[in-house]
Amino acid sequence: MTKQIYFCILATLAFVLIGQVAFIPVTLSGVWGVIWLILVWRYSKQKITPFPRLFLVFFSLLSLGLIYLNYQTLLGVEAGVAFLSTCLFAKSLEAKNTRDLLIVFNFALFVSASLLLHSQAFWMAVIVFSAFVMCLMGLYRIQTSLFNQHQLSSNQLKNDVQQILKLVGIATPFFIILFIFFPRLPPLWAIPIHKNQATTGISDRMSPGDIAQLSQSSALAFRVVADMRQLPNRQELYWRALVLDEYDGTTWTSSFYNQQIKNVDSTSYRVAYQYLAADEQANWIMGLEYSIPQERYLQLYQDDSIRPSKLIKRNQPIQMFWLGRTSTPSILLSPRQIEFSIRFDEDRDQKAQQLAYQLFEQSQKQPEKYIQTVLNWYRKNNFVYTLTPGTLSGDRIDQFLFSSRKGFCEHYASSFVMLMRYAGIPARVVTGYQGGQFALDGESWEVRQLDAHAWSEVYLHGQWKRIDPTAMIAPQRIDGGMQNYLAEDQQVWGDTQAQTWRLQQFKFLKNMRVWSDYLSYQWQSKVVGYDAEKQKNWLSKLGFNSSYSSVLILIIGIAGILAVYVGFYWWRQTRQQALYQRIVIQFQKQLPKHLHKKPAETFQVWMLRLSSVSGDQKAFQQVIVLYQKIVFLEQDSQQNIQEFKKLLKVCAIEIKQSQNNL
Amino acid sequence: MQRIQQWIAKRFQVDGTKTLLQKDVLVFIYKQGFLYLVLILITFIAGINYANNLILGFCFLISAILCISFYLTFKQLHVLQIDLIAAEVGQVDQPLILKLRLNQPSVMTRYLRIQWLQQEQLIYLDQQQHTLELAFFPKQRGLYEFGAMKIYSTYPLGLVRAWTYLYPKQKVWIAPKAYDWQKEHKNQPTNANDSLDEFKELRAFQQGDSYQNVAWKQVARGQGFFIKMFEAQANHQHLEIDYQKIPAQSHEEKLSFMMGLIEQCEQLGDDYALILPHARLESGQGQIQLLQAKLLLAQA
Repeated sequence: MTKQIYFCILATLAFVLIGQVAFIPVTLSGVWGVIWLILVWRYSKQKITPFPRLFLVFFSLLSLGLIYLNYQTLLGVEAGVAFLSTCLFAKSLEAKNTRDLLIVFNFALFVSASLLLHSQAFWMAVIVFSAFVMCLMGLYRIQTSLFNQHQLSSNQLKNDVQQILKLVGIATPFFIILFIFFPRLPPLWAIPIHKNQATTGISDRMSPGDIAQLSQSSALAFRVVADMRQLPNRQELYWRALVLDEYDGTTWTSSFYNQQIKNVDSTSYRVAYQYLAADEQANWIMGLEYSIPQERYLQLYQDDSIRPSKLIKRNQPIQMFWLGRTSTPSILLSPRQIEFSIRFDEDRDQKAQQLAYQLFEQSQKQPEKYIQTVLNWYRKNNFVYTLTPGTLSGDRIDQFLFSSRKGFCEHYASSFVMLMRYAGIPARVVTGYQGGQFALDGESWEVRQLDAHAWSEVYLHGQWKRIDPTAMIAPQRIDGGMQNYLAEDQQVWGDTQAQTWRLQQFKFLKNMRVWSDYLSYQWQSKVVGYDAEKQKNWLSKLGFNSSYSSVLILIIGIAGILAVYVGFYWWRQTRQQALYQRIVIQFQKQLPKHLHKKPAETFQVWMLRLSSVSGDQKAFQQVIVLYQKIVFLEQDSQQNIQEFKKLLKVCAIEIKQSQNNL
Repeated sequence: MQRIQQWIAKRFQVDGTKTLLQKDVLVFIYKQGFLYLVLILITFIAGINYANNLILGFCFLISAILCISFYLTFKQLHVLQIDLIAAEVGQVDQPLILKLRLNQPSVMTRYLRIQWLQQEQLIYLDQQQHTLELAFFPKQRGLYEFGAMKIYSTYPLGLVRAWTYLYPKQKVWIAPKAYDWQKEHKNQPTNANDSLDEFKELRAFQQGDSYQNVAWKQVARGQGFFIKMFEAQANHQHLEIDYQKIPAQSHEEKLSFMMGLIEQCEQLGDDYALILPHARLESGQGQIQLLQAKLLLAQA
């Protein structure tokens, strides 16, 4: 084992480690990091002997113990990849001969491929590719190190990387053909994922007043691919997550009524669109109000929320139908449900209750009028939309309505719903996202975490009607979208001057985000999400409709590339020969085998031998003279070459004639 | 098995020179290539099962690398011209040198290995021509047939091996082992070396004369190309090595004795003639004489 090969092992291990840091427990990455540093230290000290066995056993047990402690298993995707990596590290520690090295590099290829189970993001692909190059370089160096031990130059790394990249470059056309046309097969068995991993920007509870300062993440929440002209305007784009209808004075939660499955008859008018969650394991699918999912594993619930019935890691877009309306059809609520939807705690927020009675009286106890009165009341009383409202305590609704009067959507939705309930009108809070923005290419619609929103629904005339009190306070938030609103309205960020830089930072970060999201979307949709469906579209675009044709194209494509390579190889070979050499070779092809030039013969000797076979000697003499002129005096002008060609033709005819005479 | 071997021997026979063409080069997956195949299979299943396009892509990439390896490894041997040059006569227990001259029409770097008998040698070819010498050890007097030689390459990644066999058509006569007279008569003085400078006369160089005896001084003076005839040599006996008169029992032993005598004569610079039951070599000395003598003994 040489130092060059050992270098490849170190680099491969480093890439495997980097690829996993974000996904494995800190303790584990710590242990592996330390081992790697020890290896590097030994490498710099020229010590590349295997570790003692005892150390190896200790390392393996420690790593496996940590894995088991964290995952409670050694199987499954996450633990499995960690387990494989442990084996790779252990094997690298004990590697001593060429056979070990071969195993290490082949196994490292497998481990780096398995890293893609963690994430299919672009950066992960880059890391895996780097590890892949290093493994190939290791294999390459195993093959070549025996031959050129004397060439230990400093730019060997550069040379070897070049060789490998050249190799990969030659292989790339085959790879592309295979990737595009190889038939996509269905999975052989289903792979479940663990429940505790699901995360989402939306929570199943809401406590307005708990959050003093809402941090605005510009991370992507989800993406919608649709013909946006068929969907409502931005003001009307409410992406619904779930209903919160139980309030205990501080926190809103969702009641059991909402947990029942709902069946919707499909309507004649509907718009198909695709939904692509940024977080593949989100708990809710934020469909456009009101949508039904088309996938079998997704369920529609009573509150019109959409949830997966089982957690499946999906990186394919979800097919959805928007039903073409912005309100629910009439549904009859049971007395118990009505009672539930107007429930409130009479001991709390008494000032607000009084306000509600007062305003309700003013509106002649007509619900529609009352809603308008309440919204007007908000407008008249200098409420401010801000992301830094400070915390609330005690009677939170009272405090918000009568003293702080600063808040964001949650505060408005929450207090509005309570004002409705005080007047005996069934009402509830809905959370989700509002608005969004076109992606850079204008092909898809991006909704970010900062578009998260809360609004309210009021039960009027047998149907739930959406009322968004935030639209009263900050109409620009709804009209222009949150993203523009944040960028333009400094007041949102807070009152102090010091917040200005936060605004700048936000703008910069947002632009970065938009770009990286766009690129990762392209990556996601074009590469990661390239599935059987897309393949079919592709093929039908090319005019092929059966699956046999894809195999046919595959074979034809590979054969075509091979032909191109072979052609290129020959072209390069012939280009290395001078013109006169090619002419001589052509000439030789016309002769019978025994008259071909022998290795020991010079051109002159050969020609003399040929001239002895044929009758006329003059042409051969001339050819010899001309050949010497061209080759040795370097008079390879066009004229001479043409003359040379002509003379050889004469010679060939001479020989043919004399052969025939025989 | 035997028949396959015979067929291979016939198929890959080399008569002096050979340019490796497409039909001469065999290519197949090499040892660790099977490990690599398993890797392709596993990543394929993983890619399909986890519906993971990138793992599938990875699988396609390593498959493409394997395909390209076939081509590149093949190219390591393709259009390589091999000239085999064997010594005219060998001798039992002496290394018989087979020269291999490798020629490539256009210069590329080749990483080759050659296997013969139980030996292996690496060849790093980065020039148009490269010559290497393979040593064979004939054990029997008579006609020697070179065994199979295998030239192979596993460049670039060791996944695939391209190889070809060389079965030289040329056969070499092997002379008997020389009976060691020196051992028997260790104390006998060899007066030829005693007074090297005192030669008796100069005679014109004849082809086959040993360069040891060239009168370099005279050559340097431009007097001509002469051979020194030493006192001791001048009145040497003219030795007739007759098969009938060799005091040994078996045929092989006799030949070995004769070989020993011949070598001694060569060493001392004596002329010798060789008389065999069915052949005769006229008196003389030098390389050509020795070669002919060896050949006769080998064929006897």
